Amino acid sequence: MHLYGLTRRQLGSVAITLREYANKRPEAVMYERKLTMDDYLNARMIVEPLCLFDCCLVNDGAVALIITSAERASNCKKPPVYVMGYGTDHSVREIGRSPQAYMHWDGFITQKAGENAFRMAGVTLKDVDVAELYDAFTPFLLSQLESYGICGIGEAGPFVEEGNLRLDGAFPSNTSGTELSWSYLQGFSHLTEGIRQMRGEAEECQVKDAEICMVTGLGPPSPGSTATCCILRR
Amino acid sequence: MSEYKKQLPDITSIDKPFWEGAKRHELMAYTCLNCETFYSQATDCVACDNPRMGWVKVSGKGEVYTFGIYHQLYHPAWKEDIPYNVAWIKLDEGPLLMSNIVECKNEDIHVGMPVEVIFDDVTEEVTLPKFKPVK
Repeated sequence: MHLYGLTRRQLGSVAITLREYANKRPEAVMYERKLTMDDYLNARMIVEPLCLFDCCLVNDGAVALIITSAERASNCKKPPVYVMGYGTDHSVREIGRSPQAYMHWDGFITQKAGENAFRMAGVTLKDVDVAELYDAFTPFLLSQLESYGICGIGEAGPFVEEGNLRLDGAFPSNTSGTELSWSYLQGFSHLTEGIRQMRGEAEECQVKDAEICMVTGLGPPSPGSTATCCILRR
Repeated sequence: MSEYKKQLPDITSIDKPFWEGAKRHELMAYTCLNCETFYSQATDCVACDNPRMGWVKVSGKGEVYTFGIYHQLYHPAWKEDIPYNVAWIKLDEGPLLMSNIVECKNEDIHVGMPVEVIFDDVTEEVTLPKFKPVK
């Protein structure tokens, strides 16, 4: 907010975009529970400038994933989803050392996590049809849009406000409502939806003909931030 | 002094020099004794590949790097304080330190605000470094 003039309305547009996806998903915690900009702007503060709707849900839930070889998966009932690449990095070594570790605190580590994942997968960001980005708090999603190069530095607020994360936008993302509105299952919220997108099972939130999905995880900057990036293919 | 109801630090051998310094009303920071790169914790300096690490006294002057205002009550001892501020202070020597800004209204805190350390002797054993605006 201080550096780039990010507004509360832009943070609100993240919460509302994801809520609109969750409203269409019967198993979502926030199924059919609408969120308007007025609701957002009038919500109680948690840690200012973040209000209730900037924070993820707190709920119980469970997910199970079966990981096996492509050969074995070919005989299973459901179509397999392939893990094409992954990358990870952390910034523990930077903590307390310089303010640059906090300014774009995830920038260094997401860059390396993303580079490794895309290199292993043999694809680029331009090939991504749908993304499921870690969203424990609304700013997490904004900072990843910038640090993975999906939009320019300082441009994530307007990018989301213009509707680019919606199904008809430039970069459909978090299509179940993920942690902010679907279910708080940490990274499994994102993996589950990524797999469903690759299988064409995302119901009304399906990105048409999606073939490549980017799934990320992100830990906060204390005691050291961690980023993970995974590329899935149908 | 025994009336203090808020959480107190669990002082260990690792951070003991910091709290001993605070008790003397000196702000201490952990650094590479060779190249003066600051760390919160490290066994070796990754900047100059040197294992000579230690604590040095710093000026206690700096600026607000970023901050948040807590409205949510996370511990009953803070009930009378909400909304209270938590700020990252960037010390003039470089390292970042998390603390509270005192002697200043929450709405007057801003990024880049010059601050200096004050020492709050909350118990006989523990002194908390806090920061106030430089007039």
